[in-house]
Amino acid sequence: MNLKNILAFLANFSGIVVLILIIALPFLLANRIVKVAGVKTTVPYLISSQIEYFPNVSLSQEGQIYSLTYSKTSPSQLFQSLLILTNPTGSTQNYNLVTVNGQDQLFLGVDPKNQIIKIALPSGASTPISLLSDDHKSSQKSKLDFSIGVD
Amino acid sequence: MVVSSVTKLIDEAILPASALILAKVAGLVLVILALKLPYQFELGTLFKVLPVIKFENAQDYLIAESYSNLAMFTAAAAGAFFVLIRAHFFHSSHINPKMHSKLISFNIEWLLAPSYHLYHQALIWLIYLWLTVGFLIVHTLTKSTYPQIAIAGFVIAVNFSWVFALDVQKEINLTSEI
Repeated sequence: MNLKNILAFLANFSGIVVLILIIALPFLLANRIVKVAGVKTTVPYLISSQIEYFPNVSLSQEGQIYSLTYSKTSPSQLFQSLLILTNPTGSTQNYNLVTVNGQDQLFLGVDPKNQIIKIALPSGASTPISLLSDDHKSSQKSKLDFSIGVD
Repeated sequence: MVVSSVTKLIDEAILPASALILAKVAGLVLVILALKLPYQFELGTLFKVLPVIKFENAQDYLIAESYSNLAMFTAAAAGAFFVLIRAHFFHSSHINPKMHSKLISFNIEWLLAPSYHLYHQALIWLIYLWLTVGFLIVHTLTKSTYPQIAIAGFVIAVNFSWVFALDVQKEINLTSEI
């Protein structure tokens, strides 16, 4: 196969590629030139409740403050994944859990030995919020108020 | 070095590509002006250079897409129709002598064209026509175009292809007689 044949092959191959690109171009443009604007969310985070899986736990909200009311069934109790924190925005957000009022420990994740209250969540990602109550008091109604801070 | 047919096809493909793009844009502009649809114009979104037109709701988007796709199909069908008329009536290999003399008398002999030119043109326009029909069908399935447009487009494309096939058959018969 001499150089002339190779060049002829390359030239014809390129010609076909160019032809396909020219033919495809109007359809690529037509497909992308018109869009429908999606609903723009201005909410920096979403809290999803899973308290239906936990007896004697209720959740309420007033403005930016969330209130958890709960009764323990043992002196030390862990409520794993009570809530789910989700980042609905288009970029990574830094969240921190702020306990406004209450004695127990609210943290991100499910491991009570690794209680984190700050996290960087990528777009669309979620993390559970758990509650550890080990103040050794007898079962009684307890309340914990918290908010989610966004940096 | 490059096969002459490939060069000819590239040459013939530029006009239909431009016509389809212009028809799509013109269709969009006309439907926005006629129906006063609210829209947002964003620069530098499409391929990081070209603009994108965004509509506020799905209904407006459906109307704009449907009519602009119809305009695009109309451009493809008009081009294919012109080429088929030329291939049927002004084909240099089998033109009616009376028609030929009329063309000369009206000084529009440029309408006459040889098979090589006509069939490359017809092939390109019919490719565009069928690709546009495929585009309409896909958009109908994704519910962004009215189905009536895709159905009408399919019927028209089938008929045009049949007419083209008749002309090719006539040409083959003529060639075999010679």
